[in-house]
Amino acid sequence: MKKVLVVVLAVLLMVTAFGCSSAPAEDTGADASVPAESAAADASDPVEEDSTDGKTLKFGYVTSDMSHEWYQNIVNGAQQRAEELGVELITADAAMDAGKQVTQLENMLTSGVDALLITPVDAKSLATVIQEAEAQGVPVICESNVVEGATTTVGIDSVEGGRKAGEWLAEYATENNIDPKILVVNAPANEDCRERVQGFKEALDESGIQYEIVQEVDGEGSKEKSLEVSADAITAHPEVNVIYGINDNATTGGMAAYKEAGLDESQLVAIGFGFEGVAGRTALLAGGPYKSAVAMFPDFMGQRLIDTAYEIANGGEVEERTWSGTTIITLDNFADFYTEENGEYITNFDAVRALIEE
Amino acid sequence: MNSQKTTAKSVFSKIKDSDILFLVIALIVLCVIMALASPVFLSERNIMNMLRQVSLTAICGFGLTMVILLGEIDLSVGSQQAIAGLCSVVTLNATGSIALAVLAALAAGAGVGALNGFLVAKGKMNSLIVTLGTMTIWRGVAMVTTNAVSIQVAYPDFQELGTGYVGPIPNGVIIMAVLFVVIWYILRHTTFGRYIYAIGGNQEASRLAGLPVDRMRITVYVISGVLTMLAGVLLASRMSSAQPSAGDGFEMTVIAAIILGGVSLNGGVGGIGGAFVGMLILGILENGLTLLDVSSFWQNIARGIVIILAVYLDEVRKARLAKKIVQEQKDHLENEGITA
Repeated sequence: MKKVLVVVLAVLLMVTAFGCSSAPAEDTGADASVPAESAAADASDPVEEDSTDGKTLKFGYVTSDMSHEWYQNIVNGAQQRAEELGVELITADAAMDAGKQVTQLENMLTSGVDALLITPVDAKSLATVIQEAEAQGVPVICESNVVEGATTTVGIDSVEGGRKAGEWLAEYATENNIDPKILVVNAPANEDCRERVQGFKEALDESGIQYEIVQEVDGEGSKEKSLEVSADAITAHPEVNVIYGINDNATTGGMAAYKEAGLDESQLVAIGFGFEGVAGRTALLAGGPYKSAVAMFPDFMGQRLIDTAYEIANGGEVEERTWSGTTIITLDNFADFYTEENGEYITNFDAVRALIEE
Repeated sequence: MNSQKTTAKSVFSKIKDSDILFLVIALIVLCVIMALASPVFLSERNIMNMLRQVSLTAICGFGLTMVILLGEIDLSVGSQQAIAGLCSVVTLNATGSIALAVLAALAAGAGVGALNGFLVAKGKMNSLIVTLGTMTIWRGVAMVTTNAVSIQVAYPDFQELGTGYVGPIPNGVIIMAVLFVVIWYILRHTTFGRYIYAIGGNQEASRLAGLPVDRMRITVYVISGVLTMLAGVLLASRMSSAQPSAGDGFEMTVIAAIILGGVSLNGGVGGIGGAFVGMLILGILENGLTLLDVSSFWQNIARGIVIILAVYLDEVRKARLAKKIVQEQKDHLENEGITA
């Protein structure tokens, strides 16, 4: 009897706990197909009047992991764009659970969405739900990962982004007479991250400069782990003078390890892939070793997702892959892409769009 | 003369039966292998780097060792690290005071520990389940309050805590050493320590004997919470930010090290010395394999094998010891039979 009680309480605890952890992500409620908060809140908006003729488009977006700043920023960008276009956007967080994602997608299909947007937890688990969508004539737009059967994939070219970092370093090293001894803080379990490193190396090789990758460590994309493994690598190779990280956490974790080792930070050049949020921006603006970043503009990615879905839903044709822009950001061009407003940084979408049209 | 001989003999047999000896040998062998394989392994720079990493596991692990000796467990130590970072960094950014920041985190640690202890002792619930629950709750709290975005430290002096040195020795290592001595003394030479072993050995008997079982459990959880948060503050200081995902999976690292150190999950058996050697072994393994540039995927495999091997050898040793005792008793009985 006591055991039963324990089990019941345990289950209750777990339910409450998981409810807590996913709370911020679910404030727009997927399963209940509640309209996006923006659309509901702006009932008096002129856009809303236009769409009362029964033609309001409804999109559903299931992300993989809203506990990550990157996806939050994508959803923010998407939400904002949907509002501008007068589209109703419902979102849901799969919280890295592939099964949950399929259920959420099916619920959205049942609720009659005009397009499905997915950041896949596991591309292989989506075949059935994509077939269902196809049968109902609902286009499927995937973010980042290419999934068979999807109408299109919106993403950034990780290899190309990595190449930009490599080209930048080659130029910087030549100008400043640096002989790069590079520590790469990777997260090799993730294909995108492997490609970011691959492109970086390719560009360095093609540049013809002298360089050496002294060690490549696995920081698993977290600052804690990146700090720990970088600390070990830097003890083995105190000659490191360049750190290349596959996201903000990896880069700043590597930088923290360098500083902790008591080495001279003025001798260090850090290049980060990502620039996905506060940590990277703070590091760049501090004017320290973090000299440049391959920015991925997650909020623009969100906008791009909605634009693509909107075009398809209105009968337009799109390519199999739709690219979102990346560029090298340094202190020199930071202001071209971000405007500060009351301590918040607003992405200059026109500047990012110009990158793709180049 | 005779008494000296027996003392020497008993010391020898103590070492032979000691949980620690086997581990110390394993530690030395590991060090020798690493030193041969990597020229930087034994450099002062690397030893300090490795000890600083171990100090975070150890400061939290000393408290958790007491919990495990008591026959309980705390799975929430990883999530508590995230809470420690949040409490300290938010307080720091609001007040600019490092002392207040540390105090806020330690107070939160006491609170979190008291809650665990209260639920286990007064709620009469299994500690595995209770702390599994609090583990997910605190992680959820960290995510909700930050929206999963890390908070940067606004006062750079705060970084000194976790990255600074006293002479050549990192601050964390000093704190670890002091705590080790204090807790070793408490466990070995105080009533409080003896109560822990007694309760861990047999809770019901201890209760019947009038030991304050519930009060002890709450107190030990509070100590564990405070120490865990202290480690969490040092981690936040090293990262110069509060990361809502900090300490994810940390509980498993700490528990594995403690078990590796010969502390029984059933309670009452083991000590802080063994636990510390266990932490050193896992810390050196991780440090050494990274120095040798072994892929992280292989590192996971190596870590898992070492844990299983250690537990297995420990079982073999225990079985031998048990056999020896049975044999001795048999001999004793036979002797008595002959004399009777």
